[in-house]
Amino acid sequence: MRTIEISVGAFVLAGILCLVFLAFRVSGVGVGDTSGSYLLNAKFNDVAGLRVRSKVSLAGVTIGRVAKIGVDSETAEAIVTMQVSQDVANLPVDTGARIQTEGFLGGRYISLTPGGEEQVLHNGDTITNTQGAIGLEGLIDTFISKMGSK
Amino acid sequence: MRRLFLCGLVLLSAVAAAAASDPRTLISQTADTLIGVIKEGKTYFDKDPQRFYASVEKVLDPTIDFHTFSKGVMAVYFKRASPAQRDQFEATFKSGLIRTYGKALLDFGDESIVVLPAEHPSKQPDRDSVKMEVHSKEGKVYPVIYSMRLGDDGSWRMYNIIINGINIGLTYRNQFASAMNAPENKGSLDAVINGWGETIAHIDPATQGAPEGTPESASGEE
Amino acid sequence: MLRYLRLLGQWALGWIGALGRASMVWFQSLAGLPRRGDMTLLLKQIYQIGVLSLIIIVLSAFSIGAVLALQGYTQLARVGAEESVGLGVALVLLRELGPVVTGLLFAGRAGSAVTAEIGLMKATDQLSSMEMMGVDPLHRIIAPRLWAGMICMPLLTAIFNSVAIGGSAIVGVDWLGVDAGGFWGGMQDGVQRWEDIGKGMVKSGVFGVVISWIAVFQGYDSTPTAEGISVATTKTVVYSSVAVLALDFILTLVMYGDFN
Repeated sequence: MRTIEISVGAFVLAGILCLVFLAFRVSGVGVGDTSGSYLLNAKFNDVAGLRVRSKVSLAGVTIGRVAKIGVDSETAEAIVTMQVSQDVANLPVDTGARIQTEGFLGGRYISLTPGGEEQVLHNGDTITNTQGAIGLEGLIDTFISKMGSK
Repeated sequence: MRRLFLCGLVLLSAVAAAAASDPRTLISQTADTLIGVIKEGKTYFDKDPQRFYASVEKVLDPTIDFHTFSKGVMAVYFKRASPAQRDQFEATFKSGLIRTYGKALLDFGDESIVVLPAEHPSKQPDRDSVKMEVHSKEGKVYPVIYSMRLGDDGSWRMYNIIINGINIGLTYRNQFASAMNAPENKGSLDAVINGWGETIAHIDPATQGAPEGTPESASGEE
Repeated sequence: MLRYLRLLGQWALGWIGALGRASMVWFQSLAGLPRRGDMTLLLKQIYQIGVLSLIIIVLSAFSIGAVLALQGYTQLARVGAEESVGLGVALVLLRELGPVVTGLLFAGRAGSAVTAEIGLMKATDQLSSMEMMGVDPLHRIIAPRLWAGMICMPLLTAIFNSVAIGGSAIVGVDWLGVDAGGFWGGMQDGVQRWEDIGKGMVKSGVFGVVISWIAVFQGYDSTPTAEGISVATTKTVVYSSVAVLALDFILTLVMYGDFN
């Protein structure tokens, strides 16, 4: 009976340790895990390739995730709701949000560039200074039109 | 790309007298003034380019809020800059824009411009965006959006422009930040401000101001 | 013609009846407060069901993790994305393979053992003797096995996932030369606590409940002959496996439904 108790105890302990390992070494500290997060919206003309859970970064550091992607039917724009870590709380109201591509094959993400205004964004505010996804077609169009105008 | 930017400037220039209460009216009122200036300018530009730049500046001054525009370009560095540096950059930024695109203005001629009516009321009382379409002679349509802001003096002015989906203010912001981080400038605001004319002469907004060699700048390079 | 319809009807009714009996076993076993000595029974069952399954779980986990790393590396290396092998393997394991493979192994090893044991008890009249002595077999025999199954599955899944990821790290980083920082960093950057780990554990919990339920019921409901026990054990393994795979599909749709 003693061996059974010990082995069961060890088994349960091993299981719990594995869960801890998974939670901390495999997933790392998530966005706003230590300090909480707040929501910011951003309106884009085109969010092609952006997904829910895409990352939001500032100066290359992941500071948030895309929580929701919706549509403003009035203005025909996409509204992206982002969950941003409280550590990054004082973003100016003219902060820019651009949809960029990670690496060569990578997915889309949102890159934030703070602006120069004094007023800051609060929970639920909307970023209007945005740059949507630039598809390959758009770049080709621009290239062709420039060739044409020379 | 430059031609597009400049069609944007054309539309922007308002008849200086009218302090329009509606941003759309402000923009619609412009075409003739600047087009007139351009037509005249074609005759004397080779002999006296300065005069042309000066008259363009006179038309654009009341319409573009260069203070807010340049503040947005400096972004985080604005707080670090002294008032003297801020003023200097605003002036450099303005003259840089006029100089760089001024010459291209002279090519403006056969495009037609349509200012679109407001589809929905602006959500904020002191901000609005005006949509416009430039129809080139080849038949292509380029969308241009002006971000307008109501100043304390009651007049609407533009503080950002988005051409063909590309946010010009953000592009310049990135370029400024890149210049600040460039090794040759050693993070000096003065070096970047002084070198700004050179910097924007080489940006093509189609590449979003990305440094050479990145995937974004690989297409649409001038 | 009518005969086939009648057979079909009988089969369907029989099936529904079995479901009913299974539900009754379920509720009656789990109802009631724990009594003295229940902990001992539970511990013994956790040992039988969980601890004794460790060997197969750990060995399979290591092999699967290693193979995933190998195959993943080969394909990702073609586009220069080897560093993502850590993230890819971790996501596949945490979300799908971990719960499912553990479930299948669990059903095969622990589930069949439980069914056989209970079936044998029924065949040798141990269950009915207990009833005659006033001891509730549902409480003494069935319930501990049910609880043990539900407790062990998530634990085994966590162990499976950890060992598999460890195996993939050994193959990826130590053997194939993927940069350790990129391997673990990419994994940490992309794996989310609730979305990937949490939902995977929810799956394993659900599987644990279903597999234990099937295993226990098949034993309890078996025909009390040698052939009956063999049929029952087979049914446990087959039904559990199918249930795990079907539930996995449904749970994946429900949990990760935002496919666009």
